[in-house]
Amino acid sequence: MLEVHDLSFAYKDQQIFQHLSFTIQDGEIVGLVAPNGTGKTTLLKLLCGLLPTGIDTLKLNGLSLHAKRIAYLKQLFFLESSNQLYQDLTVKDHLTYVKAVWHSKVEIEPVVESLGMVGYYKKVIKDLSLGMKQHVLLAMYIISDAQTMLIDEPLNGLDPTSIQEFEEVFLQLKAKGKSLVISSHQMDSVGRTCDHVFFLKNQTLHNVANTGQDMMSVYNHFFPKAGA
Amino acid sequence: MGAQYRITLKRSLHSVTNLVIAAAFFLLLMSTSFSHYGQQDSTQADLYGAYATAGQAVDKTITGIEKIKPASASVKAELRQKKQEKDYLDQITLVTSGGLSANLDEVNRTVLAHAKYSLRATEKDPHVQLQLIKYQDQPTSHKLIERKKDVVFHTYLYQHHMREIPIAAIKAPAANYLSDALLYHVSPFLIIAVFIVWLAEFFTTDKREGNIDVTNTLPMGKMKVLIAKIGVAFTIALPLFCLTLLAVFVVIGLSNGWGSLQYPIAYSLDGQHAAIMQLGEFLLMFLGALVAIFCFFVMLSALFSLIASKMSSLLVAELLVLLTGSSFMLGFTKLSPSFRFLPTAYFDYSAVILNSHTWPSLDLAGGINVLLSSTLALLGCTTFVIYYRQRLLRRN
Repeated sequence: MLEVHDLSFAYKDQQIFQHLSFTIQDGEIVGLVAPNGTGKTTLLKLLCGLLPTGIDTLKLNGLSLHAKRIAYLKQLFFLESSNQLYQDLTVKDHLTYVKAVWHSKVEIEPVVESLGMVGYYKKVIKDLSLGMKQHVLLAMYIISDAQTMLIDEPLNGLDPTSIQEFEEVFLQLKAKGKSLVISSHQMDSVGRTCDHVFFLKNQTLHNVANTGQDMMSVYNHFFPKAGA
Repeated sequence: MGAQYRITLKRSLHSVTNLVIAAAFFLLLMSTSFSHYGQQDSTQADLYGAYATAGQAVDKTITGIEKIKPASASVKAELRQKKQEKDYLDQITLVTSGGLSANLDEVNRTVLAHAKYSLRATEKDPHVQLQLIKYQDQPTSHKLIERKKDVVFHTYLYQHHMREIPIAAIKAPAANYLSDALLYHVSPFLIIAVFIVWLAEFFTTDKREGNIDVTNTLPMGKMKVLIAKIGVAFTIALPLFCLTLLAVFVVIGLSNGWGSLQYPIAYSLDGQHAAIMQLGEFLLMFLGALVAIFCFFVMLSALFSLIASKMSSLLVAELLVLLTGSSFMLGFTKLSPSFRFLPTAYFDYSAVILNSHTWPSLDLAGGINVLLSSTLALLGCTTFVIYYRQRLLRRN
């Protein structure tokens, strides 16, 4: 369970968040939705300690980020984008590395096969397409076996088949009791996978439970088009 | 930490910088050979010519002295000394007149006799104006210790039946070539500067390639990540340099012969007594000094990389630290004896090994201790910066 208590953050003179408090339960998928440049990635960076937060602001399964940083990070996986993959190393190198560093018991081969990555498992990252890199990222999340996964726009560059495949994986991870925070602009996908959606507006989060409503309408409610 | 070391090593092995740095080391070490390209090997003839030239110079001096009328007691004494000197030089000229076919032991014996005479003359009168033999690219000095060095050097050659190979030899065998390059031809500062370029590139890779956030969210202490990096620096940079040394040794050896690692280098630890160091010993000392200097700069890079975000900033900062150890900078001010406890005093390893420096410093073992102690101090600073950074992230 991820507990966030009274999280505020400002960049230079601009207040990005003010007094955010929320909880994400085990086995829950939470969508994070907002227009570009609103602070989605900043929030994910705050949750994994890349940006400064208050001492008792973040707790993961009872462990405070500041008191038990390494144990906290062991239960979490976040990679901002596929640009952060090591370009000269192979897919295999990345997956082996994640397995070792997160001390994961998840076997690599079945994951590679299930995601259809066998054909480029031994290729270097710089030779892969954006979609392939997104698959590598997803495989890294699965292999880390982290309790909480912060995923930033995972569906970018994916074809419809891959989007369905990713959504299935998210639901499988949820079934295993993992917590996922997924930032996305794909409102139909958010509607299919998320239990809750955090709409980020005016420095605060608006928590909307997914009851099967049209998420695009909800989005338009929070962020109406200019002139509408 | 093993996984972190392996991934850092793999990433670094793919870096083109390794090839560039190896090429830079190779070109630096081969520069003497390149400068001699196409020249006839006249080393031995030049060496024998230097003896003959010295003999002719003494001849001229004698002629000049003989013209002084009336000859005072001091003029007569000088004439006597010059004639004795001429006798020794004539013996050398005589045995070397056969050129390359001259008997090696005879040459060594007569040169040694001349060196011993020069030592006796200098001991008797420190201001005696001896006609020194001018080897190409080698400074001459009338100091007593230099005469002592000549004697131990030529005694060693005579006893071991070895031919003298001047520093400026055009086709020096590999062992001599490599040692002379490291001692006299390639500045230690250039070699360290190349290492610094590699380190600056290596320690800023994550920031440059945008992977720093990956490193910062790893479930392991930052110190462990840094230690893995330091381990990789030792795994790649030093072996890379040693491989380049080996390549130069092989390239020179195949064309000029291998030489002997027992060839002597004369030096003095205390400025009073002369001693012999074999090339093999020198190379071991050089490697010891280099490892200690490398330790210092690796740790300095690790510390600076926590503060500087750009490779250029890291490079400039480290080069400035390196420059503080140059004899040019050290010659600016009168240095206090406590300067010997600063790592700066030991960057010029050739001066430290041969004890030819003019600034306060300990011997090589002491220098290595100072460099390693400084490395530990930098490790302490690095640990503090990492701890302080983590405290900063705990914003209230």
